Order: sequence, then C-alpha cells, then structure tokens
Amino acid sequence: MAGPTDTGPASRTDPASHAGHVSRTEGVGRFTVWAGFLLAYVRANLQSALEYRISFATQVFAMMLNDAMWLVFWLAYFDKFQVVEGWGRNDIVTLWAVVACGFGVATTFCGNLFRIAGIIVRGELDIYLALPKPPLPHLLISRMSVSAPGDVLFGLAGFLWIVRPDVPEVLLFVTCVLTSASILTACGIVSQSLAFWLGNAEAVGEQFSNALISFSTYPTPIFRGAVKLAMFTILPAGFLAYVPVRLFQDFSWWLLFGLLAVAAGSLVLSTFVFRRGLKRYESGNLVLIRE
Amino acid sequence: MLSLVCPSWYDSRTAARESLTGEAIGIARILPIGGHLMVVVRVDGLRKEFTRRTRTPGLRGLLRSYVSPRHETVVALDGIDFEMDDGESLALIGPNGAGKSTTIKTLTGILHPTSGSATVLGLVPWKERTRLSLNIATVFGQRSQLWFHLPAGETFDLLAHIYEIPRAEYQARKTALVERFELGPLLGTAVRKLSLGQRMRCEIAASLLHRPRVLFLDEPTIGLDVIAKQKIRELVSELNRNEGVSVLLTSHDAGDIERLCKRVIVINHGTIVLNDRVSTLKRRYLRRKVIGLRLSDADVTLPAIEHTTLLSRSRFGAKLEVDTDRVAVPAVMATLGRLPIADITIEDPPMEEIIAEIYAARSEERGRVDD
Repeated sequence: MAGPTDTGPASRTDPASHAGHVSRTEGVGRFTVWAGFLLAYVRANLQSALEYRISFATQVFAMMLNDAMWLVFWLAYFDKFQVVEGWGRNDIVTLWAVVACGFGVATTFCGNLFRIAGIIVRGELDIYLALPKPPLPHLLISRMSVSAPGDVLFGLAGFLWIVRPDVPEVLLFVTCVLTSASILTACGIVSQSLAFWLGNAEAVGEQFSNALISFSTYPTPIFRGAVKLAMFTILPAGFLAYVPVRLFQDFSWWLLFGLLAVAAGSLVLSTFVFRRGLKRYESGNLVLIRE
Repeated sequence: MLSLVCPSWYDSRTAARESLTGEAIGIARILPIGGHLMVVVRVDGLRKEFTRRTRTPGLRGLLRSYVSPRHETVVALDGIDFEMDDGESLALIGPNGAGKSTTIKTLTGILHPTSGSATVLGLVPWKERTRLSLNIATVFGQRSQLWFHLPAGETFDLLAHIYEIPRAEYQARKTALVERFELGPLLGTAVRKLSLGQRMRCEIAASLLHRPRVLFLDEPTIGLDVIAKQKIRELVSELNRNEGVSVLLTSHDAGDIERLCKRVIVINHGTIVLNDRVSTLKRRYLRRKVIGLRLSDADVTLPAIEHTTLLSRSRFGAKLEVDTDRVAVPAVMATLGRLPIADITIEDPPMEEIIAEIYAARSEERGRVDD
C-alpha cells in the first residue's frame, strides 16, 4: 500500500507568518517529495487501469499490433527498394522506435496530455487548482494512457531486435526518446491550452497532435520547401524524427546539445503558455467525477 | 469559549492536533492579533466579470456570429465585501447563478478576480494559491476529488503525498477521521459503487487529512436525501465545534444554514443583499415551511388547520404552507398524523422567495425612512 512521505514537514509552521502557514521541505528534499508523489500517482494509475485487467491487456496488445503493421509495411518496402531518399531500413526502424517510445513515455506518464482542452472547457481544473501542487504537472500525471506501454514495448523491441545497437547507441536512443517525449508533451500542452482562448479546442488539439505524429513517422528527406520549414517551426516533427536519425547516422555533440536545448526550451514555452492561459480560466459547474 | 494568547508558532493546527489526542481539550483556536479576533477571510470590493459570446438563435445567427462576433459582459460578483472570523461558520446562500461558487472559487485561488481584493489567512488566494491550499480545503458537491475506479482509501493515500503529510501523522489522522465519519466499511469499496451520501462523507474526510484551518464547502448537500443531508450537517457542525475549523459554505438549501451556521450572507446577482445572524434571518424571513404529503388513499379530506394554507392538491397528494410564527410544525404534524400518509416532506421556502421577501422588506423600510 502506498504511504505518504516518511519525513515530511506538512504540519510545521512558518514562524515568520502570524497565520502559521504550513511550510514544506526545501532543497534536495523536494526531489524526494516529488519522486514519492510521482510514484504514488503511477501506482494509483496502474491500480486504476488494472481494475479492468482484460481491457488493459487488450489495449496494450492492440497498440503493439497497430505499430507492428506500420513496421511490416516499411520492412516490405525495403525488401524491394533498399533506400528512400538516402534512408535505409535501420534509419526507418530507428525513427519509428524513437517516435513510438517517445509517444509512449509521454502518454504513459502524462496520460491527460491530449485531454487538457476538455479538462479546461469542462472546468475540471478546479480540482487541481485546489491542491498544493503546480496544476500543469499534476493534471498531466494524474492519468495514465492504458495503451501507451504498448508503444514503449513495441519501440524498444523493434529497435533492439532489428537495429541491434551497441551500448552507446542504446544510450543515444534513450536520450532521443526523452527529447521526443518532451517535445511531444510541450506541443500537446500548447495546442491543448488553446482552449483557454478558443473555448472548445479539443478538435484543434487533436488534429495538431495527429499531424505532428504523421509527419514524424515518414523519412524527413521526402519533405521539401515550406513543409520542411514547418517541420522545424510550427509543427516540430523534424525534432522528433529527423534530428534523432541524423544523430545515429552521423553523431555530433552540437546536434545533440541543440536537440536537448529545443526539448528544454519547448517545455519552458509550453509552461509559459499554460500559465498565461490559466489567468483566463473560467471554471464551470458541470457535475464531474474523477476517472 | 476560551481564548488563549498563543505565540505565533502555536497555530490552530497544533491546537487541533492536540485536541484530537486529548492534550489540550477546550483550547479555542483563536489567534489574537492586537487584542482582536483574527479575521481569516477578508473580502473588499471583489468583482468578477466573465465575457460571453452572444448570438441570435438559428443557423443564420450562428453564421452571422462568425462574421461579426458579439460579446457581452456578465457580472458574477459586483464588488462584494465581507469578513469571516477564525472558527466562524458562515453560509453564503442564494439562487443559482447568484455568485456563490464564483466567490468560493476566487477565495480558493481557482479564479482571478477582475478587481477588488481578498485575503484568506493573510494570503492573496490567486497570487499565493499553493501556499494557501496547504492550509485550506475545498469540497465541491459537483466535483469529486476521489478516484472513480479506486477505493476511497487509495485517494486518501494519494492526498497524503500531495499534502506531504508525514506517515505517522497521516495514519493517526486517517484513523480518527475514519472513525468519526464512519467510513470503515466504505474505505475499501470502489468510489463508483458508493452512494452519493457515502461519497460525500468520504470527500469531506479526504479534505480534512491535512488539518485545514478553513473549509470551503460548495453545495455539499446537493442531490442528497434527507438522511444523508442530516449526516453531513452533523459532521460539519461537529468539526467546526470541536476542531475550530472555520467553515464557509454555499448552498441554496436554507436547511443547511439553519443547522450549520451562525451567520449568513445572502447573495443575489453578484451583490450581497443580507449579511446578518442566522437567528435574524430565521426570525424575519424563514417564517414558513412547506409540508408535502403523499397519501395512501385517494380523495382523503384534509382537516382545516389554523395558520396553514393549502397550496396545491391532487388525488394522492397535497402541499401545505405553515406560518411557523403562529403555529409550530410538530403541532401541524400531529394533526396530519391521523391521515393515511404514505410519505411526508418538510421544506423551507425556495431561496427565490426568501430573497424576494428580503427585497420587499428593504423597500418597505426605505419607504418608511423616506416618509
């Protein structure tokens, strides 16, 4: 059974304040507190998903099957043509593995990512705003996508089985998965946060996410001109797919640092957009229950 | 009630914790500042406007709204002012859309006001929301913080992490709350399988795990049956009395205020129309009760009861209004008890009628002053 923090200061008071407000652990202790918080949510999400075991197993399996279909298509293609715009079989598998794992990691830990717009419109943010944790990370982690572990398993298995990487390549793969997950998360937050301004932005957010994933799963060299420009700006699929594959083809520290900077920058930008939007939040009075 | 001059670090949470363990029974949770009772909620000219897109009905109106969108400003709160003292139980009542929930959401930092100022425990809610939320709790009758598919006990554990409650303190507090709210058999049941009343008991208990100093209850009895309502009222009242938790509740059920609060603020169209003691409200405006009867035999002749008016009648049912200034409800019930009754309900007049009476009384008073 999950338990709260072993050493927590929730009931200590702030002597500087007449009201005797609660103070919390600062410094390194915050990391432990956040780790415990995240772990508690992962456990609760897992328990919630496993309440319906057959549904859980079916969704994971269906997602792996769905991913495998695409991979089979590309493998069949490479049996006939060997190369597409300079990309070979291993490049495509790497691209698919990075995007699938990135998407899987993002939606496993941030299961509400593509539901933010709905949460805003239905006034469900109230619950998160009433609790003492930053609302954005809190709402993101408070749900787990049931099928997302299927994406992670597929990506990992495909990469290890077909590409047969060495240890440095595995490390690079993990790094690229994390940057892809970060950029996907940031894009999801920005597109879904449009609901603060547009109202019902669920469809817009969904279309943006679908476009991002579609463009990420084709070899980037086939795109040219304005489309390619868009893939490195407003629809940053290039950072999800092209840059990781380039790193595997021709590693460069500068390119890696650039990718890390883009991932970190996009997260900062998305947090800024969400916070700006939060000031416009209007809540609502629908009868709601947490799932 | 005793008042005690405490050092600043001796806060109400410590007192509450000690009172729970019997260490300091009877200590009031009052922190005197400059010889005055501490004000936990202070609201000054609070105004909240929402912008709403409007259009004429029909497809043409919809298409026109795309070309030339029109917006209107809805004033949810129109510069309200009030204060709430430490340990007080205050009701904010009014009809739907009056501004009750907007007030609570602004005071808990969920909404940013358009203008005006407010502090809760000395903090500005929308600027210091995280810090404030460690010291307050909010329960929404229409929003659940419990995990739908999991037993309530799992959400309790999660909340202990969210509030960073030390393990030993959490276990002790949970045990006490489970006992007090009679949650033992419910804690292991998935929330989706609980009745509304059971769920609300779990919601309130969950919100008290971190020992909040102020409890905001937004329509806590909405949709509950009479027995469940009664239970919730008893628990909240006990909490306020024994732990000294300040309670600010919204409701459109006059019964909630009668049983829970000492003071009441009646709000309508975003403005305060009455801020007075509940006893005054009862004496002046809650002078009627509506008794609903469902009869087991058709066409029974109802006896004439003094100071009671028949509002409506059907073959198996009747609605009576009792003037409680002139006749006690139990006396009326005693007379009605002789009839073949299948079911009986006693209700307060709707909030709209109470507000209408307040307005009428005010114009009458103004008229007298003008004369």
